[in-house]
Amino acid sequence: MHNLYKSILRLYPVEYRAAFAPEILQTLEQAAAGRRMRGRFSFLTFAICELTGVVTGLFSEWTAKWTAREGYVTSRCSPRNVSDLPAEVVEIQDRLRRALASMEFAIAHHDFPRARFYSNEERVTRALLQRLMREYKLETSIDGCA
Amino acid sequence: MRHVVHDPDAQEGRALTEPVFLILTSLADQPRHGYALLQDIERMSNQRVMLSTGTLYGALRRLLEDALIERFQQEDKSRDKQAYKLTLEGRRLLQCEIRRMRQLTRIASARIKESEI
Repeated sequence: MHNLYKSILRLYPVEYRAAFAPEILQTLEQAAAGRRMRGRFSFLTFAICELTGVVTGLFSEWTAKWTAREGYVTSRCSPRNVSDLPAEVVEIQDRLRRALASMEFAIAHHDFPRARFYSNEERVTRALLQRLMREYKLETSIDGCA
Repeated sequence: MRHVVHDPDAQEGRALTEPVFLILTSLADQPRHGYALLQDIERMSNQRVMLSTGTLYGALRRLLEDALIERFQQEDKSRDKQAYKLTLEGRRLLQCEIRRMRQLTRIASARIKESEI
């Protein structure tokens, strides 16, 4: 079962495999061990479900890759090293990214009152981020995170 | 300027699928890795929902892209384990879904009571 699963996983988009394959196989191993202890019938149903799931996922992931407008398996899927930046800074960076995305969306749809609102939010969040960067003595560029 | 079609605010208006709701609920109290998520979802749903690994990671990939959860390296480096945690946005979306479900169950209960009278 494990080998067949691995072979099907090799057919997934390369970005997906690079980001998730080792972790998926590790989780599969753990789940399989748990199911083996529950008996043969339980393991058989588990194997059928897993193989069906990995085949269905294959089609979903290729469809997602072909239809992705803003990139497929972007940097958001990469693990964040918790020790890199303080959690507070990471939260504010995320807030800034969202404000920018919302502002761009509003401008693209000619919703100017909303664009102004997000522009203000962006200014306030950017100021807050600059203050935090100074407090934590970080040299990371703010533009790099947006 | 790049025209962004994806609206971050639009996520609040849409209902979550059951696997996604269960994943977000599972991450609401603490970060978990893949196998812990599978076990917790099975426990929460009284063994009614048993996600396959493929379904779980497909959903996790979409949630990561939507910035509703984030992935981080766990401190235990003996096993290369990635854990997932809810972001503020994910928590906000889960709260919206809970409100939506509460409203629906209230309506359903009221209608059942009405029909019993």
